[in-house]
Amino acid sequence: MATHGIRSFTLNPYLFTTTTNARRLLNVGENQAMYYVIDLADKQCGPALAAWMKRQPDIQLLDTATWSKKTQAFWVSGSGAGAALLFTAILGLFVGGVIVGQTLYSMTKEHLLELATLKAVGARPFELAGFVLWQVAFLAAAGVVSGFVLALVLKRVLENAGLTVVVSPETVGLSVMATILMCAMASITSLVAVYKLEAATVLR
Amino acid sequence: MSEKSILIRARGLAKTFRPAAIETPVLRGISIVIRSGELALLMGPSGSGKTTLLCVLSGLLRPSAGEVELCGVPISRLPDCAAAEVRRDKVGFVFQSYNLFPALSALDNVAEVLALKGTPREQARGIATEALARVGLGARLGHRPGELSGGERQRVAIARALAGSPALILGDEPTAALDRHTGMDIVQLIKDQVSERCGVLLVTHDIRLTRFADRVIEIDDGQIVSDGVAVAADETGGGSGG
Repeated sequence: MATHGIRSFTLNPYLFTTTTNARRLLNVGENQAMYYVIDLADKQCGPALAAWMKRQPDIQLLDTATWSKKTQAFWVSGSGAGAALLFTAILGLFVGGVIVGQTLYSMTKEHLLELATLKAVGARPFELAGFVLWQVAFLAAAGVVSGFVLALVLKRVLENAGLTVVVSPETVGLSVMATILMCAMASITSLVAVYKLEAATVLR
Repeated sequence: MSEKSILIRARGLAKTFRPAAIETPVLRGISIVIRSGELALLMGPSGSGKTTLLCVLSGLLRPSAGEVELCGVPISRLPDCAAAEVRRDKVGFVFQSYNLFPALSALDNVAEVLALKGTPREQARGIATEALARVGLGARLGHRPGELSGGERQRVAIARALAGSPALILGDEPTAALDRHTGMDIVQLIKDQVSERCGVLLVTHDIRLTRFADRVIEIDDGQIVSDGVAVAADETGGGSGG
């Protein structure tokens, strides 16, 4: 059976064919374990077939939802792919944190004289911190918006190529929180610089 | 009987810096009183301790020894936050390099400092407009510092210092970045603010400013070497207070 529009990031593409053909193409012996998708022509046979299969010691029967969870668990934690993705995400957060931290610090340094002036004329520490926090909020908002737009564009491109990318509200929420947390962590150096700023520098 | 009140009272001030474990005494036993109604100049050669003294008197630096009272508050003994509060309420600063916020208009530069005092935004803008009009910049409210001349920038800085109705105006070389004519205008403007409720202390190298001063305090090597009624200098730079 010929197919088109199927993509997989594993090296084995999905193949719709007979069992014999599949075993031959994949070089799998007759007694080796395989997963089969059963699509009954007569749905009425389902319960009887399921009952028979459950009695077989070497057959495991999975419904669609269980199969989905099992597959997700395999790719997320049972294979190296999940760990690789997690590592990439953490690395991205770390690199992003360093870049945001450097950007914030250089923005703060550019305005040290103004901040020292404010401190000299009586600004409270939280008012000075507000300067950094506004920049953090701006960078976080810019990061969230640009990241979301990029994700949507990628989703569309990959969907056109036949690969479904799920961007769930949970994923979006987690990404936003991770971005805000990263920006907050990255602002610590700048906040310390502002806090330690000597107001007397304005008169030197 | 004079209504003049004491704005600064400093006793036995000493300040020693210790960069890399080397002790550098900058102020040595300075006692000084500044009253309202007077414009006092703090003069002396480079490195004599003028700016350090101004920092200590305003609570920007803590003295190593001695005590400073600013408007009756022992500012040298207060924590930084409390000292900042005293400065916010009692002191207006005029800096050598103006220290304006380049992204803000003249109006907002003045209003921003009032906002620090908790003045509502609209009221702050009204007071800032009046202060800028007083220094002759009523028509330049919307201009940013980059669009103003040096003299105009210093006028904005003066308006910023005056807007909060401070008891004391402290200036650090306010004319150093200005030409002679503009510098004299600026000091006259500062002099005009002196009243029974307001005094001025300016650090300067410029001997020509003595003609505006009620008093000249000379400092050298961290000690006051003379303190007395100003004698106007001639235009060639001869003569000084003392």
